[in-house]
Amino acid sequence: MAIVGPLVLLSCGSDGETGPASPSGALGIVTEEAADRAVAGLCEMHTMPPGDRDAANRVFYDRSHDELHVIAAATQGEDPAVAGRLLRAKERVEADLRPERLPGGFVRDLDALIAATSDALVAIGLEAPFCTTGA
Amino acid sequence: MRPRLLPVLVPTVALLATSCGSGGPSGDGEPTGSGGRMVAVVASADLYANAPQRFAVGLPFADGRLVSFGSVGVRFSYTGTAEQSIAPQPGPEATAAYVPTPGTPDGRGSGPIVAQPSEARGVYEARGVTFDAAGIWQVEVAADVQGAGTQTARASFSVAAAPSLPAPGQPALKTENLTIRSKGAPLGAIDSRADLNGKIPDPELHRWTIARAIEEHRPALVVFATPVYCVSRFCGPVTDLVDELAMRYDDRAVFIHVEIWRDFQDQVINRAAADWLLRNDDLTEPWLYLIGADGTILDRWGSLFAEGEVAEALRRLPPMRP
Repeated sequence: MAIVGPLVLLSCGSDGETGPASPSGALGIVTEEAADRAVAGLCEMHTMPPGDRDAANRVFYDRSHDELHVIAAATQGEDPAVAGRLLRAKERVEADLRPERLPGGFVRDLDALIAATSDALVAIGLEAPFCTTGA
Repeated sequence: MRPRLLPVLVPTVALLATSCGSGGPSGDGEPTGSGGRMVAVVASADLYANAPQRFAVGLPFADGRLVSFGSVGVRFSYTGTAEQSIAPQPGPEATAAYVPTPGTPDGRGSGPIVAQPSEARGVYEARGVTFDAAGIWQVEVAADVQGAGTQTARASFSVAAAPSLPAPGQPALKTENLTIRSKGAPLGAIDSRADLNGKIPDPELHRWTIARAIEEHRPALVVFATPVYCVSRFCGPVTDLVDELAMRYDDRAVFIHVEIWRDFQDQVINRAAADWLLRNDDLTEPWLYLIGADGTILDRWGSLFAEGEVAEALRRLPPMRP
């Protein structure tokens, strides 16, 4: 789709691949591998020492944040309500990460984000990974 | 038909998921570990011919890291039209400086480095670039990246004969955007951040309509963005930055945030945002517009903007009457 669209169309020509369609939206395709990595990042945030804001911030932005946008964009076409819940949950976690100290509701917000991500993945037909510990 | 909301700059992972091999980037330097080569992603929208404009490009690696800080060189070539391509014709060259997202520290006194997204996010922006023909252009970016040598990457983009969105020199649309006094409007339609806690943040950004600012001959800085439902990662901080500018320069202009979504769940776009930005069922955001006291658009910024540049534009305006 478009912003990527002009770029991709211009640079990729018509070398479309065949095979089962992967869920996608304005930001591209959601692969199971990328989704797993994003959720694994959220799960890892759960296992960190409470209050380690810098570590949580690193994991969130380096491993999960961008893919959450891709998942939300793909979900938006299937179920905007689910996509909206994911984006709101993501925004709350981002707000938690802005100050130097994590607020008291951080773990609750993180749980909500993990749940919203799972719902979104189900909505686009992917298996929702789950945290083996913590959440 | 549901409108498609498009980012001016898409997040890194998405870019790379949709990038392609031989038609994509090239690099003269060594790939940086397992991160692959640098990719150029055009972050400007609605480019048009024969007018100086900003041109922004993001420089991610396949592993999600980003080239950050310092400046890079950009060279443009004209490659014909969508119907008929030609051998690349050399065009303008420029230096593009780093424009960070709010929250990214201001440079490090050195040239470009490869940084994790948690350390730095931003784009490189060249100013005053004039494309002398409509059609398909190519940008070649050369970055002397610390520890990785000179990295180059290319990307193609379209330049139209005329802007499709309101542009500098044109009269601003006299829009009745929603404000905190709008009757019957959901709070989230005034600012999507109200969907988080039921309160409209930054009320100073939601007091004026564009129409009233023009009617009262007051300059206006207008940000079109959806902080919660943004497609790109930059919308929230962009709106925050406009609020900071509003605190410092409220004697120079009125400040307005126009929320994109009337109802995200039902995918309904606010009329004001649609009038300015929705074309052919596509809408790009965020955008920042500076409107003069006479109602003429003085400038506009897509995706990220350099706070200092916008502040300077505001300082150039004469003080408003109380």
